[in-house]
Amino acid sequence: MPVPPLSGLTRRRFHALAALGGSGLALGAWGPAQAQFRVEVTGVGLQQIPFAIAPFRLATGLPQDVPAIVRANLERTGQLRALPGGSAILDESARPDLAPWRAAGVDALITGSVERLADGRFDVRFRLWDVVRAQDLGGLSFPVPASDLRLAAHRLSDYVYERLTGDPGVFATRIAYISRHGERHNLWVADADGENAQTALASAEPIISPAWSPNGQQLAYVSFEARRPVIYTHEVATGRRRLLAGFRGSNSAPAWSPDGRRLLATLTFGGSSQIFAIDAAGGGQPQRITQTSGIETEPAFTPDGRTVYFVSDRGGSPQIYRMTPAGADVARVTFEGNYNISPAVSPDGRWLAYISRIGGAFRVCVMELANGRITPLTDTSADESPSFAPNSRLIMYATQAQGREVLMTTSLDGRIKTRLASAPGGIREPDWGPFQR
Amino acid sequence: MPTRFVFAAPRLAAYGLLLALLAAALPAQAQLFGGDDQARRAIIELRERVEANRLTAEQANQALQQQQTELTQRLDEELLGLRRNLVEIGTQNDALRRELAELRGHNERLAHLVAELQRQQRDLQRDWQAQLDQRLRPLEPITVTVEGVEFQTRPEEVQAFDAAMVVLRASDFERAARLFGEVVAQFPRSGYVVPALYWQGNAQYAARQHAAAVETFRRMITVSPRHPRVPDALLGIANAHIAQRDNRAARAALQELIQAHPTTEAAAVARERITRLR
Repeated sequence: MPVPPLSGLTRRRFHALAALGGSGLALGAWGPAQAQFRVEVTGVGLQQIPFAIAPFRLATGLPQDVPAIVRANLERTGQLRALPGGSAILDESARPDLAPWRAAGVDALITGSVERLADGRFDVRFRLWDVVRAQDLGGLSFPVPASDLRLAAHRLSDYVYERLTGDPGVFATRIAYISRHGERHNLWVADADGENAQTALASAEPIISPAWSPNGQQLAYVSFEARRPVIYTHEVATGRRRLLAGFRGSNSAPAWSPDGRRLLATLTFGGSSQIFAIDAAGGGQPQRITQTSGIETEPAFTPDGRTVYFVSDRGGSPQIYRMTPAGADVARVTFEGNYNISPAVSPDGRWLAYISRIGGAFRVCVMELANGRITPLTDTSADESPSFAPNSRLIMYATQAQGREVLMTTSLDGRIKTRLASAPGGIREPDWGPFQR
Repeated sequence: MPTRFVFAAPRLAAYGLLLALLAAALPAQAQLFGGDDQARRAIIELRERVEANRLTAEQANQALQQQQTELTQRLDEELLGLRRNLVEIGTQNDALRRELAELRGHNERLAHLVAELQRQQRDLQRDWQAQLDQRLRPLEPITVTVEGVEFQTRPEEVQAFDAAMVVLRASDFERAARLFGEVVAQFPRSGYVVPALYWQGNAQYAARQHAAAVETFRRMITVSPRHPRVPDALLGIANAHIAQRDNRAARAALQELIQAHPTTEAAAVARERITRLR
């Protein structure tokens, strides 16, 4: 019997199929950073905290400009605004006269240093001052090898951001995304600011749907290297990978359970697309979760693991539903419009981001789960793959701007957007990783 | 096609019959080998019989074959029909499935709408109840304690009395006297009548309407002879008489006070005042 068409969903989801051809597969090689991002912030928050970074006392020959990275990080949130940091060097032990800073409208001042240690490592130190209350808000020291200077800058940013906004920072987290350049398809792992990108997998065939494991050590993804979609899990640190689902038909849309013990995925076995549970450790038969004659796909767990949001066309058009992980208590969630796909639940469990077709345009929307209130967040028309930052304050998504595939982030009110413009070729399918402990 | 084998079976059965006949004929031939003519005749006869049998078998076979061809043809036609039906059923099934999905979607939207309407109705009901409560509140009786007496009253009475008190406290005695008088006239059965009369008397006294004050205090005492303010009212009457230089009437009022309410504070004042009246 023919499966009822779900043309949009299937086409968009699998449109990478069209590029089948060529051969070759480079595994796990941590290649050099190629995708250099340029950050553009659009929109203005209502309340921005003005901060300044005084010139750090810096060792010579530093491979990374730590204060510049921190400044870019904080500005990119849209919640903080950088003011000039003056010309006098102030390190973490300085006791600066805060009156002139206060007069200049600075609320928070960052001082610090990067020193070369005897063992060749660098010590990144800083101190944060509340200029208004004339209070020392503390500081930290990160002794790191040169290769981790960026990480130290991110951790510094996390500290400052959390002290100033009350929310945990996400600068030290990582993102995964896919690039396509000609017939080269790469799976990248990059810092949350898009820099420091390393290729985790290079293939002549499309790669889609990367999904971070809850502990941030593995990625699950769909690869077409066998000329049909199969799911791999991939240890990021070692590049070691394992075939998770290579069953007859198509294997797609992997989603980790919050305990990391199993994944939900869409399998066809030659029939219609249905959601199955697969043991993350491998082995055993996939357990069927949905039982319909339609298309069931794109599962996404809530952080408490008690609910799974997914897409189904059982009601005649693709809509988002929810159910228990065992497939019980199915209830429809989206009712506006006739095309709602790609659900993602925020780590705090309060928000559901998804793609909705609004007047012919595919846009990221966010629903407040407590009251069902919906806010469209973008004015672009080809948004895909929304994914929440681990602090639930930003959503990263793929879209097209000026005819190019780009990654963007937006605040949950849609007010502040940043664009992570890539190197040549398209980038898409972002997934924001968890906090790194 | 399995069906062909089923219909081949009768043909096999016909061959079997022929073989059996031949087998039966053979021993007879051997027995009659002795006489030539007899044997030839027997053989001819046997040949004829075999030939006849053969013809019969062939005819039977042909009939069977024809029957089989006809059956096969009919079956093929029926199969073709069934196949057409199956395709049609498949198409119908697809259509039904689509229709079912649409109906399911419709049902989901309706269920959602009902839930939404229920929620709105609950909200409306809650708002309406809140509004009603707010509107009814001024009409509901409330309990107040005025001048040491507790009674049930209505908000408008409280408002009228309190408004008069405000004017009194502002030392606008004539207006206060008028307002207290209005309270009494407007709410003749209210618990406020006695305190209104008492304060009207005081206001009239302060406004130097001494005769009116005496009259008002007397009215108050008549309405509520056991009211805690009665001694003060009697003192007020005495004061009004004194102001009118009617010491006799004043003394009478003071004595009435001392006798009727000897333990009160007002009585103590009255005793002191009586001595001064002499």
